[in-house]
Amino acid sequence: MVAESYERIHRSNLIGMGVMPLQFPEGTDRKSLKLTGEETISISGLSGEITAGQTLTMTVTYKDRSTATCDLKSRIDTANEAVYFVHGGILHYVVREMLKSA
Amino acid sequence: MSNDSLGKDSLNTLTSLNAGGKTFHYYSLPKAAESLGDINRLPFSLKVLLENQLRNEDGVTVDESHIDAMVQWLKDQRSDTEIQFRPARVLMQDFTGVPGVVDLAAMREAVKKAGGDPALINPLSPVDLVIDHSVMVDEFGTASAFGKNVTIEMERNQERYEFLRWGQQAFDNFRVVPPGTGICHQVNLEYLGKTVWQKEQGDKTIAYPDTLVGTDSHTTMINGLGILGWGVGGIEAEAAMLGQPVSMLIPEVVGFKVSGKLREGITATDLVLTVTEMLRNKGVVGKFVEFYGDGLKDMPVADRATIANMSPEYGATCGFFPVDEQTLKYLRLTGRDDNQVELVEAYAKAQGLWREPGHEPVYTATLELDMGEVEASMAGPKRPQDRVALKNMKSTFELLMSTAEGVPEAADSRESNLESEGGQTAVGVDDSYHHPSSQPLEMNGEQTRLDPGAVVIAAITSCTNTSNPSVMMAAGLVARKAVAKGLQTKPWVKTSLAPGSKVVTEYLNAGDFQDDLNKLGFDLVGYGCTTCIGNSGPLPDAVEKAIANGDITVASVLSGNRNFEGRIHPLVKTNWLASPPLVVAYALAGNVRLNLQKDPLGKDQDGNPVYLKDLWPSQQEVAEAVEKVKTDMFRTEYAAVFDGDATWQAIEVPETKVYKWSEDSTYIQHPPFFEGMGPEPEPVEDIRDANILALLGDSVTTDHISPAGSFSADSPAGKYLQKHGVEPKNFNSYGSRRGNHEVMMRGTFANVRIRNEMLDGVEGGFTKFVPNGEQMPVYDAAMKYQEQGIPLVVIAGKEYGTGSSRDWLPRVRACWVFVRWWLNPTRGFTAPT
Repeated sequence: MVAESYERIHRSNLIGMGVMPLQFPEGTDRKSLKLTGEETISISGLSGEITAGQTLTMTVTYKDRSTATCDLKSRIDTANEAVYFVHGGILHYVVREMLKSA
Repeated sequence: MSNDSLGKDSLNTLTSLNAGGKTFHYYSLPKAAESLGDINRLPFSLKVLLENQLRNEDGVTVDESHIDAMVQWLKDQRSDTEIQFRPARVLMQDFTGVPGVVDLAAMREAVKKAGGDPALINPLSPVDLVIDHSVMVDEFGTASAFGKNVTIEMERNQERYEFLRWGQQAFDNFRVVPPGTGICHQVNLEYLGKTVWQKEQGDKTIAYPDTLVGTDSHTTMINGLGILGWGVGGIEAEAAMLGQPVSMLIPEVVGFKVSGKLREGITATDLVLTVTEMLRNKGVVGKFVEFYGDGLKDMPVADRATIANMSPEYGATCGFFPVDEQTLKYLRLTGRDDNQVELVEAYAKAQGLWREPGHEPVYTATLELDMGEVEASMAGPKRPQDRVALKNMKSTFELLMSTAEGVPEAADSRESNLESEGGQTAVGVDDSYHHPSSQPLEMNGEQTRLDPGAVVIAAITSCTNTSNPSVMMAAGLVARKAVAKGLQTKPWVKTSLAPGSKVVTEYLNAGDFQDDLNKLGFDLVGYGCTTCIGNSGPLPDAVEKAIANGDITVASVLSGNRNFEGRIHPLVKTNWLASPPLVVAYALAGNVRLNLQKDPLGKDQDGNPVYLKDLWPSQQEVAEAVEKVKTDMFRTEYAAVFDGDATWQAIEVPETKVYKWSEDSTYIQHPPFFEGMGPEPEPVEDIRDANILALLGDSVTTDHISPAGSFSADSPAGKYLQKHGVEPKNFNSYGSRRGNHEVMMRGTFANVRIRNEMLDGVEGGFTKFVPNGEQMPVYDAAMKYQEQGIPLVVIAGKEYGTGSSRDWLPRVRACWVFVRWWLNPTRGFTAPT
C-alpha cells in the first residue's frame, strides 16, 4: 500500500494484518509520477531486516519501458509494529508466542 | 506479563486510600513527583498515561526511561518516545467484534492443531461486546416498527448471534450485551464506564483510572466521563484483549479552552459542530485534545460526551474532559453505586486528576471558544467538519446545485410533462420552484412532486446525540408544538427514532413526548446505530424510483456524526448533520432548500404559516423536561442489560472449547489466516513488477475501502451470496457479514461512490485489468491477477483510510496474501491446495 499519508487507525490495522504502509516523500505523489495505473511497480529494500521508519526504493516502469524511481518511507513506526509485520500480523505473533510459552 | 503481578515500582509510589469503607492501593502521582519533580501541570490525559506507566513498570515494555519521557514532555510539550499503554478493558460492537471472535476461534483451532490447549486462548483484559450495529430500519412510522425490526434483525443475524453466544460461554473475560439494548458508546457512558477501575491483586485491591480501547472510532465518547479511551483497529483491540500493550508515541495535547454559556435556543449539537470545525481547521490529527476553562463548570457530562464522541470527526485521538463535580453528578444520576462515586472522588483528588477552578495545564497548543458565540448549525453535505449556519442552508444548497448540476432553471418543458402525469395538486411543494430533475410522486394516494433538496430521510439517531437528554427532550418539545398546530411531516420523508439506550424511551415517556413524536412518524424503530451507519433501510419504492428517474439531488437530515458520500443511503447525495429538534423541523419542512429562520415550515389548522421560532423550545422548557430524567430509569433498564429478550435467550449454545464451523453458513466462516503457519515467520522479500489495482485520490475513507452498508445483487458479493442460496432481500449489510471473509474480500473497494483514477469518470468499485484493458469489479480483477501470479499495489493520496475503524481492508489483504498475490506471496503461508 502506497499513499501520501495515512489515517492513524488504518495505518495500524494494515500492519496488524501484515501489510506494510508505505509513504511517498514530500512533494512526490501519483500525479508528479504521472501514474495512469498501467505502470508496473517494484519495491526493493524489503529483504533485509525490517525496522521502523526504514527507507525503501520504488521503481515505476511506464508503458514505454522508461522508468522512474523514488524513495518510500515505511510507516511501520515502532519496533513492536516491525515485529508484528515480520510475523505476518499480530494474531500470528500471539499464537506463536502462546505455543512457545506452553 | 504484568497483568497478574505488581510492577517493579522503582519510584516506590504504591500507597493507599480509603473510600466507601474500603482500603484501595494505588500508584501515586504525588509520590512519583517526589522523585520526578513537579508534574501538576501535566495535562490530565497524560497524567492518566503516566499512572499507566508507573503501574505497569516491568523493566521490559515499561522502564524508567518511559516514565522520565512523560516528565520531559512537560518541558517540550511533545515527545519522540514510544510508550506501551495497557488499557483497563476493551469495548467492541458487533460489526468489528464478530471478526474479533472469529479470530479468537480460529486461534483456538490453530493452537489445537499445533498440539496445544485451545483453552489457553482467552481475552486477558475484560471485553464487553455490545450488539448495536445490526438493526436496520425496515419498518418505520408505526407503533409496531420496533417489534418488527427486532424480529427481522433476529432472523437475519441468527448465525452471528449463535456464534457470539458460543463465544460468551467459551471465553473467560468476555461479556455480550444482547441486541435491542443500546449503542455501545451510550451503554458504556451510562453503565459500563467506572471512571476509576479496581482489580484484586494478591491481598490488595488496586484502584486505577478506567481506560479502554474500542473497536469503534466513537469509543472516544467515554472521555466525557474522564475515562481515557479511543478507537483502534479491530486487530489492535484484539492484541489489547490478548494482553499485548498498545504502542503509541507520547502525543501532543491541544488544550481547548471553553468559556461563557450557550445562548437561548442553541443546542449541544450546535456546539459540537462548531468545535469540530474549529479543531479540523487547527489540525489535531494524531493528537489528544483536552478541554479546560471555567466554561466546564456548568457543562453537563451529556454535553461533554457529545463533544468527546466526535473526536474522529475533528481528527483527534480523543477529546478528554477531566473529572469534576459534573462527573460525580452524572455517575449519581445514572445510578452508579454510591461507593463507586466516593472512590472516584477520593481517587481523583488524591492523584491530582480532579479539575480545580482556574487550573490550567501546559499544552502543546491552545485554542479558545466563547460558547456565547455558537450559532444554530448543521454540517454537510458530505463532511462533518463542514459546518453551515442554519441561516445559510438555503444558499449553501443552491450553491451546491449550481456547481454540481447547473443552476435551477425556470419553468421548462418538464412542467407540462408533470401536469400531464397529474402532478398539478402537489402537497407541500413550492409551486414557484421548478427544476429539470424534479419528478412527480404519488404517496399514499396523494399527488406531489419530489424536488432537489427533498428530505427523504429524517433520522433521530446516533449515540452522539441520543445520549444527551437536553436535545432529545428538545426534539420532543418541537414535536409537541408541531402536533398542537396540526403540522404533519411531508409524505416523502422517511422518519425514524433510534436511541442509544432504553433509558431514552423511559424519559421520553415520562415527559409524554413519545406520543407526539409518534404522531409525526418518529416512532421507535430500534435501539442501535441504524441510519448513522447506513442501516437506513430502503426508501418507499415510489421515492426511490423518483430519485433514480430524475437523478435528483435529495437530502437526509440526521442527528449522527458522519455523513460521507453513500454512507447514509446510496441514492442520497447530500447528508446533513443536525440536532434532534432540527431533524424534526426538517421532517416537517421536507426540504433543505429553505431558510428555516425565515421561511415557514408549513401551515397550521387555520392556514397560518408556522415558523421554526414558533416551535423551538426555550432553555427553560428544555431544563424542565430534563428534570424528568431519573436515576431509577437507569437502574431499572441496566439491571437487565445482559439478559436480552426471549429470542436471544432461546438461542441454543454448543458448549465446546473449539467452535464447530458450518460450511453452510454465509455469515461465519473459518478464516484461512493460520493455514500452514510454521513456528517461525518466513523472510520478507522485495516486490517485483506489481500491477496497480487501484489509483485513488485524497481522503479515501474506510467506507470507500470496505463499505459497511448494503450491496446490490449484481455486485461480486451479491453474486457470491446468491450462488450460496441467499436471496437479495436477505443480503443484510457488508458489516454484518464480516465474519465471512468470502463476502468481505468481494466488498473491498466496492463502494458505489469510489472513484478509481484508472478509469475516466466511472463511479463505483471498478478497475481496469491492465493486461487486456477490460473494466471489471475490483475483486474480479484481483482474482485474475492472482491466477496469473502477479503481485499488486494500491496507490492513494492523502489521509488514506480516514473515517471509521473498519478493519476489513487489511483483513482482506491477509486473505489475498493467502491466495498468493499480495505484496509478498509466500510469507507466513503455504499455498492453498
